[in-house]
Amino acid sequence: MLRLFQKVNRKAKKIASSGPKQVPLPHAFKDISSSLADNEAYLRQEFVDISDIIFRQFYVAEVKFLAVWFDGLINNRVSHDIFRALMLDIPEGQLLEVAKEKRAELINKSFLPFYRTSQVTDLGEIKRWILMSKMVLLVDGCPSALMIDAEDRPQRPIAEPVIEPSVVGPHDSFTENIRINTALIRSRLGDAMLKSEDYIIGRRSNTLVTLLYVADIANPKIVEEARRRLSRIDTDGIIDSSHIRELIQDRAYSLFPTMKSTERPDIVVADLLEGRFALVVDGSPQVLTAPSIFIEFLQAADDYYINPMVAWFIRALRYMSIFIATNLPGIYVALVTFHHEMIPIPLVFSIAGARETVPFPAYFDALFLLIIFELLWESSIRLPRVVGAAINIVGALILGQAAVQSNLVSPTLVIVIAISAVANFSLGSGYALALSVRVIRLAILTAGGILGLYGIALTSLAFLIHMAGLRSFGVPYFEPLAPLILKETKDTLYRSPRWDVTDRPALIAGNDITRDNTPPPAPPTDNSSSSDPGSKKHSRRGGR
Amino acid sequence: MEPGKISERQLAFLMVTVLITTAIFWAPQLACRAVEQDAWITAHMASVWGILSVLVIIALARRYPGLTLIEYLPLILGKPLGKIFGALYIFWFLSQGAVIILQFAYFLNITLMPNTPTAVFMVTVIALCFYALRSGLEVWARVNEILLFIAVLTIVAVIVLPFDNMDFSRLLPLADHSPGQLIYTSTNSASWRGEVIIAGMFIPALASFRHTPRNLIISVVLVGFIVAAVEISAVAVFGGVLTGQKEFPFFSLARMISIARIFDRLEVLIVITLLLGTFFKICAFLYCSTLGAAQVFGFKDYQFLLLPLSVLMLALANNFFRGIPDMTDFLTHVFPGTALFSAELVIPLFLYLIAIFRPLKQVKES
Amino acid sequence: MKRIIPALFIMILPILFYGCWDRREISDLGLVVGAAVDQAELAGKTGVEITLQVANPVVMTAGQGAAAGGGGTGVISGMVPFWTISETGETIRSAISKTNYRIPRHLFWGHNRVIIYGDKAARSGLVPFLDRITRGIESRDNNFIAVSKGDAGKILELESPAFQSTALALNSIFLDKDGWQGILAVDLADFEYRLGTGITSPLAPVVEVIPQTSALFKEKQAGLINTVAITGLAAFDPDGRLVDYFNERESMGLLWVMNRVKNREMTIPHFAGGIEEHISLRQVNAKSKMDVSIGDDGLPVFEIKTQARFDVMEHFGASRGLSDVSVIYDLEKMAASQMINEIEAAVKRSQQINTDVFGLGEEVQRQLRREWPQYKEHWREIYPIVNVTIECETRIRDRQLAVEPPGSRTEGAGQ
Repeated sequence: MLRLFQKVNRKAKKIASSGPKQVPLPHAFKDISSSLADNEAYLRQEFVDISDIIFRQFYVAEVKFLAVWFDGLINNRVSHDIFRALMLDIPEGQLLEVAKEKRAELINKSFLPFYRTSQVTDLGEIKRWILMSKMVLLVDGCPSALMIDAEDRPQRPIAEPVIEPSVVGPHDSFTENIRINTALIRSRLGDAMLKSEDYIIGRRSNTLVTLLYVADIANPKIVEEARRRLSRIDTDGIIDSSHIRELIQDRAYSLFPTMKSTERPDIVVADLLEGRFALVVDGSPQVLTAPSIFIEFLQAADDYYINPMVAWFIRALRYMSIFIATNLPGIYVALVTFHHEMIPIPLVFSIAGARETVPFPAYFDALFLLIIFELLWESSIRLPRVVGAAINIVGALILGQAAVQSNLVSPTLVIVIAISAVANFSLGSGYALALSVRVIRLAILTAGGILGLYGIALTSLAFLIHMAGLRSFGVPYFEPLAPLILKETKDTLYRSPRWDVTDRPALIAGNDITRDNTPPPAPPTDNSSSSDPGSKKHSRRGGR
Repeated sequence: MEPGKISERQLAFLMVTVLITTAIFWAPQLACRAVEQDAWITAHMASVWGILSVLVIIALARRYPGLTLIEYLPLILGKPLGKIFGALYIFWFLSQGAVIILQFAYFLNITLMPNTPTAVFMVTVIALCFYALRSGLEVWARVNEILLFIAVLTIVAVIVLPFDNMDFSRLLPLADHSPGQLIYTSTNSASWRGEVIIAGMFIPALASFRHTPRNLIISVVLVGFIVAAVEISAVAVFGGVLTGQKEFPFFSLARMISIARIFDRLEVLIVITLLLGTFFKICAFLYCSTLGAAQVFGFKDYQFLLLPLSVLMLALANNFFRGIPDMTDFLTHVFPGTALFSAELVIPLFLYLIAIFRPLKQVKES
Repeated sequence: MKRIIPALFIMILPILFYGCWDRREISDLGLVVGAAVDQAELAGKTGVEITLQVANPVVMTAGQGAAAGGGGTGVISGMVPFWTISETGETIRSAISKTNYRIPRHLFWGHNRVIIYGDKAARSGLVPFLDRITRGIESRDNNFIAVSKGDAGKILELESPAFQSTALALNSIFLDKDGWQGILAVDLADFEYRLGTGITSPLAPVVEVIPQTSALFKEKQAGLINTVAITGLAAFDPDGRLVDYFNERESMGLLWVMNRVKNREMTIPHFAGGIEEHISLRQVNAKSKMDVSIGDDGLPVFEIKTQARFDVMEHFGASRGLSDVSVIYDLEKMAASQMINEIEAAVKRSQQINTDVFGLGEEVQRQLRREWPQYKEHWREIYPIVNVTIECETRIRDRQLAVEPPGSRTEGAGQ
């Protein structure tokens, strides 16, 4: 597979004379014939029984042309421009003057007012281009065709981020169009060292995937590993970036996400600058970045846009919230069924009194309520927006209130589960982590029901060992904590001001470790630097 | 043999965990029973024994770089004798691990869940150890690094928080016992401190060796200070006599904590945190015995020995003692003999003496 | 499949394991909040009578439950939030076990706060009564202990309009008023420590049932006329046998020496122009120290030095004077002499009943290490005859927000 890739790459390089880097095409080769009729027959046969394909024939100075594209993937106005250029603007004499074989080249060089075209000599490739929403122009008597990138697919405009909204900071998010996405990244990172490599993945879907990295920051080993894993993919279709993630991430059976997917261009750029690579997948508004470490999933973009001291506090809050989200129901059950003496005395009476009329053991009580909560969560996502309000009413008012009133669950437990749920939703940008937490919470709840706090400690430790053993593209997943790298806790456990975080994460960034040389902010020291006459006067007086 | 590498800090942290976790539960009782309010002095004296062990193991490691304790035994004693001693060491690791598991399980039984079979605790903890060791030395050494912070914080909390009940005049009169008595008592604490000898199994896995001697000595002394602080705190709260009468003075101390008069009875949390430390201690001994066994029998890999040896350790643990009184008696009278005066100090010391008189050339040949 | 089966096992097995061991629902517990231990006669032999005060949480939250549940929880009228049960047995544990015949719940001692010993039990020696409490993992060393004059069970059985649970009421008193006047909170660890020394006498506060003076007519009718009060301290001999009681004044003197006073208030006379008025002082901090030396007769001589600072809390009178520093100095002297009187009373009493409640013996052990062995064996004979001198130094720190009482006259004071 890899060898094939290299071969294709070489071939593509040979063909592509103009335009940006070409897409390598791992496909069967069939050289184009110089007879247009043959080519047309081939293409018609390939695209048989397809109703939305357009074969448009036309003649310019007796030379037959054939344009092929899919209806709707190229804007009518654009196709109109193409035909106008070809039919009306080509001087017929010039066309007839050149050799038959050079006609395509001539048109490409002089008469196609489009920025991205290329000459193609392979029928398989032509077919591929057509499928990838390009227009292909064949010229009679010429053994090469022209690919015209006039793609204009249906798309939605750039919108506000939905999953990871932020209060301050940029408000744009990725769309389903890969070009818009790369543009959003490129426009924020104007560096020639930001390299991009295109891959076409999916035997049937032919999805374009772009690998982005900053060449002189990223660790070449990690980038090479990413290339290797991408080229290893052999699947029929990629519908979303999450498919790529599943196919290339490190550990298949793990609750913890080892690749981050984000819809925010600013996060991607920040990750690229830390030496990570990004994968932009066509058709997906989520861009993948890796290597990812656990702490990242507890951070939000906002952390970097607000006062660092406040951000520190908010991060501490989030670390607390992951503890609460995973452990609180378990701890409640452990306390209520095993360690009764730990509950302060007024509280123990009220909990005991409330539980008196509840028929189920505390564990099943908690399990029941937790499952109801999960059901509500799930249904509020799945339900059409219009009935969403209804489920809120059913969930919050009827279920919660009625369950307590009918003595199915104890009121204390409702509070515990509610707090745990609130904490679950405040986990920063990692929706992926918020999903994992739901499962971890159940596991810890069960452990707490069987062995009390000992069980909880044991399970937590098992999860901790599991996490410490994970790696994301070779980088330890629990990185600045295990292994402990005290220097890097500056931007993980807490957040120092930007000028203080001088280094990129050493295990991720391979080459250019220094990120920041800004001197710490300081008041002007000597008189000459201050232009304010008042302050000069003052300092002179002080000097006396 | 060990594919992973650990940092010097990780080794030092691991040693602190190993030295502190069981000692903190059992040493104060034994020390206070013997010398009452002077127990904390014996904790420091034990550090001296511990430093001796460190010096010996470091000297051996310098002489045979890249080799574990089990690997250079045959080089020093000759092949047959070396292998026999290697096997003895493995048995010592195993039995030591078994005693720790048993202490772990008994402790949980007494303090948290009296009706739960001891076997449940032993099986769960060894299963987790097995999982941790399967993940590799690197991984659990890393996790230990984080958890030690929490454990030490907890210990400090237990030492400081019962300040309401403390009366430091209970530590007087100072040094009321004869030096001989103090030294004799210190051998007991020192048997825990001497467990630092297992560093000899980890040194070859170190990424660098430069600060290790210093680190190990610091760990031993630090543990001395912590145990002494616990003993001081316990004596200040309960008095010397009463501390010796408690089964677990540290636990009783934790039971005295009351924060703002509302959050009291938090000893369960404290116990749990420290038991996590005990978990790493079991890991360390299980690791030593599996790695050692692989090296004695000349296997290339140790991972496959994990399962049989953890089951063996479990079986040993299940059959060692009749109960806590039995175990406490063992810890008082037998433990110094099986630990400090054989595996931890005396044998390594003899090994070193023999090694000095044995030319190194011979070593290279074999 | 290889992964799914173990995963299923891991998910399902725990649920089967649920509640195998040690699980105990909080609603199945009888939460013991206080225990009273008395000596009882069992077929001619001495045994233990234990009285437990157990919480009944249903009643406590009934109000809320009814409000939330619209009358869902029906509470039988007559149920009380705390009930008591008593039983006899050869050991404390056997008495407790016997209660199981009669109560539907599992007794849980984790929330026990107070243990009260009856006078009879205390006089026969408390040592056997302590073991169960220190051995059990549910009870703990920071439980307060107290001695009742008379039957301890009566204290817990008391019904009062002021509180629902005697044990919790006593707990609040001990937490809040430790060191105030003659109240000394003693926890088990303290008591055990003193027992352990073999020289120092253990102490325990005394609890008594006294009539509630402010009872309403309705309450009087219902028979709720009594309440509990802490009245002084019980002094034990070093072997744990109750010897005698200290009254409140002696207890106050004892607390000065033990460095346990907190917010101590005392009222001292203030003579202004021949008229006796009263001034109340509150102690803000106090520190005492014991010095030991060998006297001429070879016996140790003790010097108790106490320093204290006071606030003026109240001047009950119409004369001026507090603005005058010399008057303040006089007050300080008065306060000091009152302290000396209190301490002297305590020393005298303790020597009279031969209980070394101050820990003087320990002090000798600490300060005169070499001489101690010769006193050690005879300490109980020596203690009643040792010489104790008392020295007090007092200072008045502030007079709170007023300098002089409003409407006070200098002429009236005749200054």
